[in-house]
Amino acid sequence: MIEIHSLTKTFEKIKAVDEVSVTIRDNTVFGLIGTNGAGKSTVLRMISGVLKPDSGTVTVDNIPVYDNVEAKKKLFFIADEPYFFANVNAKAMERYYSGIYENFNKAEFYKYLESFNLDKNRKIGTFSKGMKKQLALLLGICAHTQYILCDETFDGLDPVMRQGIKSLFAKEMEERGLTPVIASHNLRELEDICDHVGLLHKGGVLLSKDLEDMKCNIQKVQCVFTTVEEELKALSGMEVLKKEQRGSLRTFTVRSTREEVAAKFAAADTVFYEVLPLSLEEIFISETEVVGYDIKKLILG
Amino acid sequence: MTSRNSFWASSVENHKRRIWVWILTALAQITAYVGVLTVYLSRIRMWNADGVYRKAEEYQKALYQATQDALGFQDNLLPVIIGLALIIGMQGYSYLYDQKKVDMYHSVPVDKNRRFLVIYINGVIIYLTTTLASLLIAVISAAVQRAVSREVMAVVYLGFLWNFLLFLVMYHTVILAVMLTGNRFVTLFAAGAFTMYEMLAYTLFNNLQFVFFKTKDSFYISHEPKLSAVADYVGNTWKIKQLLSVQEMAGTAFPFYVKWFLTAAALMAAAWLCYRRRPSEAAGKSMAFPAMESAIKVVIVIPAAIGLGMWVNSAGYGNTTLTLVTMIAGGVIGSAAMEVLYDFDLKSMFKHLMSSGIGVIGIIIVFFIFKEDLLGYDKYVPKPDKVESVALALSTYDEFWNGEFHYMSAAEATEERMKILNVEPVLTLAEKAQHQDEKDMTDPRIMHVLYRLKSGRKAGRSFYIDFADPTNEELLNQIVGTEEYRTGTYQIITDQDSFELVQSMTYSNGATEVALPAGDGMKLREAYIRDLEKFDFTLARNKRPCGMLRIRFPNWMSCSLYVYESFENTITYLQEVEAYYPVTLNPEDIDSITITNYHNDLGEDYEDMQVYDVKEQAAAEFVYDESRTVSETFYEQEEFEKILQVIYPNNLSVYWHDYKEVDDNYDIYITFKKDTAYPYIRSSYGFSYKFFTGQAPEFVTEATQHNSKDEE
Repeated sequence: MIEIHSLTKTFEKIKAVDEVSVTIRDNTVFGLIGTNGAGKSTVLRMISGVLKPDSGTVTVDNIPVYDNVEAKKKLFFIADEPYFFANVNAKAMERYYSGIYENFNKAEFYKYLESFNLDKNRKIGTFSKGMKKQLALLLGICAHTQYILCDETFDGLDPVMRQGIKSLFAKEMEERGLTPVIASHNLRELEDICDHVGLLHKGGVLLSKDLEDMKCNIQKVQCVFTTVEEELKALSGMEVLKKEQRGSLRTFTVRSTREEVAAKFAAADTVFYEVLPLSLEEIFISETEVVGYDIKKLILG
Repeated sequence: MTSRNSFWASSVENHKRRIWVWILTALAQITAYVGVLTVYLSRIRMWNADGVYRKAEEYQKALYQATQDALGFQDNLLPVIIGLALIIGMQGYSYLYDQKKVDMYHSVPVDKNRRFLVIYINGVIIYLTTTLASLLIAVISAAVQRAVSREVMAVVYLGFLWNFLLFLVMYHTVILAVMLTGNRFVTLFAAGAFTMYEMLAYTLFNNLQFVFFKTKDSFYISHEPKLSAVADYVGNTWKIKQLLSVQEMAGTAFPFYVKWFLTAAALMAAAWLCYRRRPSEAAGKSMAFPAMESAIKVVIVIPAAIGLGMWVNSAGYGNTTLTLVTMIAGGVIGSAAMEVLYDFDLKSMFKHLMSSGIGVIGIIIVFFIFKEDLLGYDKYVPKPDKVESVALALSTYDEFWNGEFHYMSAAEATEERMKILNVEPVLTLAEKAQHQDEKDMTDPRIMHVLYRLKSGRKAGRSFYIDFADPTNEELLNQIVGTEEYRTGTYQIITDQDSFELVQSMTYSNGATEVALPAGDGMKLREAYIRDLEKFDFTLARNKRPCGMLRIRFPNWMSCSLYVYESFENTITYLQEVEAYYPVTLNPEDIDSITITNYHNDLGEDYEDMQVYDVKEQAAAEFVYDESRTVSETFYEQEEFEKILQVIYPNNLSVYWHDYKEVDDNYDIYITFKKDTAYPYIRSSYGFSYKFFTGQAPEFVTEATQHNSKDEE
């Protein structure tokens, strides 16, 4: 488990990370979402031990990470622009990393290279940006660390490759309990992969929740009531986060369980009602609007 | 079994990324050693083919010397060593400049200390391996050419240590510069500043003293860098190279080995501390530790602005207002430039105005400390009871050497050998000089004084005294007439051993030069020392030498000793060996006298020449211009008699007499008859005469008038 407590980092009088506290549980995919400059990369660099926090602590399985080889053995950090040695191929990078990470699985690495159509003998300098990211991910996965920290790593990957990597993550999570931490400025990229999401804004954490919890506790309902009284009856005792109206068709976003919503709307006299699935985007819009932020401006652009 | 993550494995991994450094270093070292050796040995072989070496031993010695010069204390290796230290140091830790690389290297589970050590040791290995391999190839090549001996190998070893320790100092300097900065450009600037700062600061300090202090002494006390290994290297490599034995070389080099090792260790400790504290986010920025930016700015801007001001001062003939304005402007612009450099942003030029202001105030304070002599440098004359002894030098052209026949400067020799205990006359002259300007003196002479204080401190001052001032005569007698003064000034007194090794001795009266028996060195020495006891300022000032002894020693050392008519012991010896000839010439021996009048007074350049001080004025009086020069030869006995009464041998002109005593406008060459008993120098133009000032006979001035030949 990675525990971040009151983490603060300032660059030239600008607070990049301000009192961030997050817990990343093992064997989950943690999504770190935020706009450019929100502090995602800084948080990841502090988790990986690259940067020393001004204050606060980062521990990996209860071991402080900064300047600590034992903690770093459990982590593999992929920066937004991964670095490869000049004029080398994938084999040379494998040799380097397998010399550093004791559990590096060479056979697996070369198997994955083949699966992803990456030539092990080709100079990395001639790879496309997406290929470099794939290679970095494969190196990270094959290093067999407990945690893999990916900074905007899925940007630039085509959907097929993204799906492939996601499958690898799923496999590694199942087989050895890998915990990926993925930072992205694009909410849609994380929608189908994350178990837990932390939303960073201006260096602070706006929210940090399990996606399932969020999905279970926010529902979207479309319906047509027979009377206004019936509408009030159906919504009584529920927190309405959002309400839209087109003619007689109402769309509500409410904070409640699916069962409770279904029961309340079934009890009311409606012409029609349907509990709809919510996208991650919609959940975030609702959650952040509650705390006074317009998520569209923050993440969705 | 070696772990995959072992030190050795890390080292090998690191070397893989430094292959170009290996190649470059190897090429540089092969050129520096093998290439230079080849050139040196080829030159010796070529000279041998041309018959330069008459004996086989001479040729063999030259071959050894060539190998020693190429592979030992080679004095053109400095740029190679500095260049390699820069490349090896900067390339090794260059990942710290790049955020992408820092992200990778600092996130992987490799101990930070071990990474530093691996890179450091690999740098040393690159230098050592390429150096030793190049030296090995060079030595084998020299051995094949029979140019290696055991002594040569010892010198090669000493030279290798000399260069390696300098490399270590420079390598550690570069590493420290890398740790303090965030990009290559600023690292180069910082490494240059670390290397040159002390040298430049001392140069500036000396320059400020020279410009603003009247009594600035650089004769005894010169402010030289104490810590700079580069200054040590530049100042001593050529000296060590010239030493005759391996023992001497080792003895001279050893203190520097120790000093440089300690310097390198201190730099390494500082670099290590900075590495440990260096934040990863420093990559790509100018400075790794922003808190140091203002202090570094002030430390660099103050001397830079003062240096600029002093440059303007020298160009503007001492205009102090302009100097100060330039310094302040330099401080303001320099501070702005440093801020721009820190941020690579022009808009940052007015950042940190407080530290810029401190820098400018510092500049003004330093300027006024020197301009107004706020620390009282010029006013300093120690109290007599505070002074243990004094050393001084009047004429600085005396010839000195040490026991190994190596040249010593007058400052070194007098500091070592002269201990005048009666300090009152010196202090009185120093006190008088406080209230006199050399421009108001008739015959101003500079006196360099070293005060040895009872506290153990030494202070040096140089000031003008007037030789023509009668009130100074007794004071100068109390100095010049002392045994301490003679002991410090005359090599002949302190150095008995050299006189057993005299190679040749001559006596000259200005018109002839007679060889003396070289084996009489000790005898002549004793006679001359006895005569010197009569020597004082009054004698030196009022009497002219009647001849000069020239004594030559091993290693091209020689000394000239003036003989006065009152030096009866010396003259008795010269008479014994039939070498004494009076300075007065016999007109009957003369065939002709040719007199050249340079007519310096007619020159426009002379009129226009601005005279800034007395010394320059003296130099200005001899302005050779062929178009104005008139020569005339005289043949009449009557003319000879008149001329001989008013001329004096050029080579017997001594320091003690007024430089205006003889007229530099004329040169007089005498041709003697062939059948004289007197062994005149007949063909050498080295022996010429001068008229006493204002005493050139009228018939000479008329005959050598400008245009007088045209009129004829």
